Amino acid sequence: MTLPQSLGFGLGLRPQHYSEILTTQPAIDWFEIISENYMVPGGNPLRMLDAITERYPVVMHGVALSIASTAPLDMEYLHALKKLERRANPKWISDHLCWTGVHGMSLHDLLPVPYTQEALKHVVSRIGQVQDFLGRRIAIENVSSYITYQQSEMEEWDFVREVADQADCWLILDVNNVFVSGTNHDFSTHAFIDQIPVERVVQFHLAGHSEGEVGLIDTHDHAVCDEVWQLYARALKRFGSVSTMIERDDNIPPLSELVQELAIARRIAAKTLKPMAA
Amino acid sequence: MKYSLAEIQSVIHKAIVENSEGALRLLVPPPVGKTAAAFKVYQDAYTLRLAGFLANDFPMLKAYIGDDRFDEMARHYINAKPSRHPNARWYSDNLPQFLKTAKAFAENGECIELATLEHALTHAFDAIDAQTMTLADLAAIPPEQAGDLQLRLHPSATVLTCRQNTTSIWSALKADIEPPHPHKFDQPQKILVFRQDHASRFRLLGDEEAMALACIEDGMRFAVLCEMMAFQNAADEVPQRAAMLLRIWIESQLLLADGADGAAK
Repeated sequence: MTLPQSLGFGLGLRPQHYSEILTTQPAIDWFEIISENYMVPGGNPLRMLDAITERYPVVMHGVALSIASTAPLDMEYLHALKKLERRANPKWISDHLCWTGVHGMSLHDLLPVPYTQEALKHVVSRIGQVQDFLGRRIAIENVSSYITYQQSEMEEWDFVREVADQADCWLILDVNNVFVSGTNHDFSTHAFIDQIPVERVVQFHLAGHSEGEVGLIDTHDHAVCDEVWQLYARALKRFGSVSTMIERDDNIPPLSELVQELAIARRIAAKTLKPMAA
Repeated sequence: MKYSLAEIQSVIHKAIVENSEGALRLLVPPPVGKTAAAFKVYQDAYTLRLAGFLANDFPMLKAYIGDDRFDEMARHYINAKPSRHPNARWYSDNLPQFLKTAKAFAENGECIELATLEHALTHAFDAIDAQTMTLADLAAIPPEQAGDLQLRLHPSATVLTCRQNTTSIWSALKADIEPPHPHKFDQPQKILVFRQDHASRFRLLGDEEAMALACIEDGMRFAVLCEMMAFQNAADEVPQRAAMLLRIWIESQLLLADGADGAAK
């Protein structure tokens, strides 16, 4: 299995920045789109997507695949995803290791699964179905979580690793999610990173979070914090040069601010990877 | 007791939607704080997120009725209408209809119309793409075939009926100025919502244009449309008036090109 070549340093594509991106063509190596934002009949979102994909490499990142749900796979959703894939020609397609609802309803949230053999078998089977349908390998991302199930039989990192190996899929390592969950559940973030298979990680996510009543919450409304930058450096040492992007979904700043934040990632990567390459 | 994955998800789902404590028995206490507080992150997020979708799709309604009343309305809507689509884009589709039956808005017809207008604008924004008729297309039609022309509206177009000064309220809110007091018209107004140059727009329709657009929606040929115009107003100026409407519609990107099927490219 050969991992796709690193795309470099990217940002999440947000409508607030369309115009500036197209007029100034900033030094951003690639963009990640939220798949569902473009699974619409037509209009400006798809027009902007077409314009961006003409100029930049793009990857598709979904929030509604609900790969771990025990509800049947939503074939209407998958057909829409495939239609968007044909249009956007993404380097890869990803979603989260989570479920978003059952009984025909969506909670529009990324709920964690109990880390059990039953859930592992279920998720592996579903990823296989999705990959068969799309005719390509997908990437699955570790989520932030705020609860722990009594029934869990293994650590999250063991579950993630087994999912990737058994389903033969790629992984997005969300460094902020590792930090948030590690803080909330008091586990070693280094242990998490050290147990993720190097040959599976196709992309890093970086983001900011907030402090809640009982821990950290993955809100994507702040700049990346120092601890997450440090963890990113640690991940770089293990995984090498991997496509890196910053997610910002709320309290969205001017594009220039995000480009500056991305420059921090570039500097950390240059500093961390240079000695390794020497 | 051991639960299946399906049972766990069912219990968690129910406890989130119903804001109950039924799922706590499945969870391990967190290192800091209480289990209920940790689970509450998901319960709160559910309501906040869905309310956020509504606020995003109905910003003028929210500005008009204020945050507190909007949040109250959102709570009722969320309880009555759980999301049944994986894509948040469609969650608020039923809000205008919901408000029509909501007792709290029975005396606020302008709120229902405001929601209907905003919903139509959202629909126009990302409605399916389709090639629109140009003036050159029109010029290429032989005069003897003009009567058989069957005009079709772009999928983004919707004609609404407003019985109150809703568009004035919307425009004031959009301009961030104090909206006028609501009042009912003696005669309802027809409003055209459409997409032009990739942006959603609306404008008031005169009686004749509203009638002509209704003819198009009913699939009438252009000759019949002109007959209807002659029947409604002076017959001798119908060709000029019809030509003027055609020009306005084409420049507004309102008419489909011949052969356009409204399908996305």
